[in-house]
Order: sequence, then structure tokens, then C-alpha cells
Amino acid sequence: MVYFKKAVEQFVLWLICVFFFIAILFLPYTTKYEVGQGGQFESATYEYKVDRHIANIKGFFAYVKENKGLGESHPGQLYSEKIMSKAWKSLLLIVPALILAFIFGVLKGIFDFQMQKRRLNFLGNGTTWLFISMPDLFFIIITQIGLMYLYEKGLFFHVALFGSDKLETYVVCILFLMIYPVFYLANITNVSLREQEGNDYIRTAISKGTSGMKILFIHILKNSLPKILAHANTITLYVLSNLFIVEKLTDFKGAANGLFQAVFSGTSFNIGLDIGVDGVSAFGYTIFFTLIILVSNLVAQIFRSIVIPASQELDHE
Amino acid sequence: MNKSLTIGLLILSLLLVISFTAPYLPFVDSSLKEQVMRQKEGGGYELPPFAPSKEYPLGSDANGVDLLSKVLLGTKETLLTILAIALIRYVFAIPLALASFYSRFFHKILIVWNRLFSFMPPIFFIILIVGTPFIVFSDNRFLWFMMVLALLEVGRVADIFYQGMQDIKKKPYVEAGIVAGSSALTMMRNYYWPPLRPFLIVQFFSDLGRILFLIGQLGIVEIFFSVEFVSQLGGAYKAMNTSNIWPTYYANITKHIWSDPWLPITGTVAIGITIFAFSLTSNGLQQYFDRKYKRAQ
Repeated sequence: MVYFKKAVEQFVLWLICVFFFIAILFLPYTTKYEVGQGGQFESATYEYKVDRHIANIKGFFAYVKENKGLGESHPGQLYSEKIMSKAWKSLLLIVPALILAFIFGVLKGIFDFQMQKRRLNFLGNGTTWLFISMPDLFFIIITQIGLMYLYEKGLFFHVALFGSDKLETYVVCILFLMIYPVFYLANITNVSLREQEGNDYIRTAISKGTSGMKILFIHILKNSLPKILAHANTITLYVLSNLFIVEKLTDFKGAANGLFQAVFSGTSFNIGLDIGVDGVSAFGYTIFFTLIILVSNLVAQIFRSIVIPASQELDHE
Repeated sequence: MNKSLTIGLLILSLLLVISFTAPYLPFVDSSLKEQVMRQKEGGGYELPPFAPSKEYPLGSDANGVDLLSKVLLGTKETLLTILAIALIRYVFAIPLALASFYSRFFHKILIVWNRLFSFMPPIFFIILIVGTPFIVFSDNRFLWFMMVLALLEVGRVADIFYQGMQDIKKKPYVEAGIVAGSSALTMMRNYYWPPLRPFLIVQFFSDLGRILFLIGQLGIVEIFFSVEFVSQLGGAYKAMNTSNIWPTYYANITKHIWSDPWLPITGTVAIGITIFAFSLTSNGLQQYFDRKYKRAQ
């Protein structure tokens, strides 16, 4: 029951959030331009009117109702098809990146945990610390430039870094997206494993002759997982934000790229024309991005409910 | 020996020194002179951006401005901008945390704020809101921009402090204070504030790093702080960046990364080192306070 209530709560939040975005997307775009003698741009002023805003939003819903969907962008080309194809490409990056980040993050955390008492500690905690402290932007750009340089010198085989057609670019993008989440989770895992260290249940397990690996993976990890899963939302938000950067840097034509094209009216305009966003496309991408967050929140909750008995759920909040 | 703190503070003080002395350094061209064309050694002309050479140690930007001078002169602007954003954020977050500690109504606001923003990737939200004409054509675009960046994470920061205060509340010495009949103000000043202060300082430095990272990301997607509308071919006007802060070196990065990589490399190294310094300082301070207070316990 607790989980059902939480799921409903997530869903309601999602609805509110989507509506909030719609309100931003359909702000009235009436702009007054002031033009100099030669017709050159001098300045522009913007007036906000509530009734225009409401009319815009109502108009959008009427449009959706009339078209039974998002309608056509050009004759014969459905908005929904275009959005779906771009969203699918991005989904192929996001989902593997998230899953792999969780797996490798937890493994790296366990590795760090085991290395901390050895002499090669810098390989464990040292690398994690470095990758958390430096922005991943740095590593991404240096890798791109480095790979191009190496290829030019003939020291490395050619890797397609740009575009969204080849398998290589998908792999490269997934790796770029994973950098920070892996090390972030490694740190969280390491900290929560250390908290469990020395608990009575571990001593009991050792005294019964359970092997070290079994204790680590079955006993300790199970108790640490709720703490690790609590960061699922942070990680998802991070990956989605980073998707905009990675798609831009690799010229990947995915959903982030699509959203850009739909809303990036803010950087150029023509005098006399109201600048406007492609609200219909932007709406589609908004749904896509917020749905991913909703699903990731729900999945994290399902996993948590598997690991924690319902009676303990309240303690972890 | 607290290595993180020492190195972090060293880099930060170096950055501070640079930001104040940069205009007076002998190899810095403080006028940021543009050079549209220059003669090549073997004859012929070349157009900027120029590759790194004796004249331009780090190369030049697309207008032929010496990049080294630009980076050093931009230090002050960059640091001031992120500091201002962090200050605005804390001016809103701390009162909100305090208010929600004492009043349920404000706590509800905090929860809604936090949850709502946990459904929006920060960049996504900024792209939507910064593109609205309200902000695009505002005379105070710079201020609006800072406000949006600051408010974006007010909920997160306020929640951290709220949780911190809740943890302190459970400590036995707070109960002792209540039993001794301290007023709410005394409780705040003498019981809550002392353990909160180190917490606040550590968090503040880590936030400075986060903000720089975020505006770095925004630079890549070509959203800049202050802009000027420049006429384009075909009669359209495009917003061009006019400020000097580091993320602007990412403008047109997809083109530059091929032909003139020194531009993005310079920006990345400058931003990377600074974020690194902030997170070192934040970690170092955390260690310092841990040792200082936990030993006493």
C-alpha cells in the first residue's frame, strides 16, 4: 500500500511538472520592436498579458483535441513520428548509460572499499576522487581532441566521434554520459559500505565461516543498496542534463538536439516577427524527458521495495 | 597535514591574485586589441583565430584577441559571477530553511519546490526559461540570468540545511538548552548556529564549483550571460556574447574543436582547474572541521 501511494504521488508531481512546462512554453510572444531610421534594430520591449497566456494554452489543448494527437509539422510528416525517432535515439543512450553506470559504479565502490587498506589505494579512492573533483566536461573535450590528434598522427584507429548513425558514436556517447555517474556512485557505495563495517551481523557471518566475497555481496551490499538507490534521481537528472552537452559536442541528432531546435529562438530573431518556439515539438520532448525521470523514480522505488521490508521503509525516509 | 585544503586554497589564492593583478602584468594586453588579419612569415595573410605562437602564447580567439590576456582578465569576471549567484542562492535558501524548521507551511513550500525541480534536468529548465522573450529582451538580462541560476537550486540547498537542523535537534544538548529555558533566539544563536556554520562553509564552496560547472555547460550549448544582437546575413539578428567569462570560449565549439582546438582547450583547462580547486577546498574544509569537532567529542 505504501508503495502504491508513493507511485500515485510521483504521478501527480509529474502532471504538475508537465503543466508547469506547458505554461512556460506557451507564454505569449508578443514583442514590440523599436526600429531606427534605416530599419536597423534598436530595442524591443515585451508585455505580458494573462488572457493571452491562457488563450494560448487553451488553444494548444484544442489543437491536440482536434488533431487527435500532435498533428503534422509538414504535410505528410507527423510531429509524433519525428519526435519518436529522435527520442528513441536518445533513449538508446540514456538507458544503457544509467544501467551500466549503476553496475560499474557499485563495482568500483566495492573495489575502492577493498583497496583502501592496501598500498595501491590511489588506484581505488584516488581515481574516484579525481574524477569527482574534475568536471567531466574536461575529460570529454580532452578525449575528443586527443583522439583526433592521435588519429592524425596515425597512432590510433579512426573512431567516429560525430553524428548519430554509427554504432561507435553510440558507444562513445554512452561512455561520456557514464563518466561522472560511475564515480559518484562509487563514492556513495564506498561510504555506505564503510558505515556497515563492524556491525554485529557481519561478525556473526564471519564467525559462521561465510566467505568474504559472500558476506560483501549478499550481506553488506543488500543493506547498503537502499542508500545507493536513494541517489537514482540525482543520477538520472545528471545524465539528462549531460545529454544536452554530449549531443551538442558529438552532433548527435537525438531528443536534446530536437528540443534545441524547437526552443532555441532566444538567440536569433527577425524584426517584426514575433519570436516563437515550436511549442508542439517542445511539448513532445518535455513529455519524453519528464517521463524518463518518472520511470527512473518508479524503478528505483520498486528495487527499494525488493531490498527493504515494508516495515523498515519509514526509517529510510 | 590536510593536503586537499592546502592545495585547494593555494590554487584559489593564485586565482584571486590573478584576478586583481592581471591588468598590470607585462605580458597581458589589457585593451584586448583585436587583430583582423596578419601577415604570414612566408608571405600571404591569415585570418584569426591564430594558432599559438610567440606573439600569442595560447593562440587568439575568433576576433584575433590574445587568448592568454583574455583568460587572465576574465578570471575576475568569472569568479565574481559565480560568487554572486551563490550569494543570491544562499540569501533565499537559508531563510527558507529556517522558516520551514519553525513553520509547517514553509516546509510544505520547500518540499514542493524541491520535488518539482527534481523532475527537471537543470539545463533543460534553463533552456526553456531563458528563451522566453521576457528574459531575451530584458535590459537586465544578466541579472535575470543570475536569478534563474540561483533560484534553480534554492530548494536543494534549503533542504540540506533543513535536514542538518533536524539532525541537530535530536542531539541531547539541544534538549538541555530547552530545559534550561533558552529563548528561541538564544537556541538559534548558541545551539544551532555553531554546528551549522562549518556545514554552511563546506557547502558554499562545493556550490561555487557546481555553479561554474553549470555555466560551463551552458557555454557549450551557447547560452551566454550578456549578449548584443548582431545583424546577420538575411536580415535576422543573432545574440552574440559580449562578456569575457570563461564559458564563452566554448562558442561554436563544434567548429573550433576541429580547426582551432586551443580555444576550447583553454576554456576547459581554466574551468577545470577552478572547479578542481573549489572541490578540493570543500573536501579539505570538511576534513578540517571533522577533525576539529570530532576530536572534542
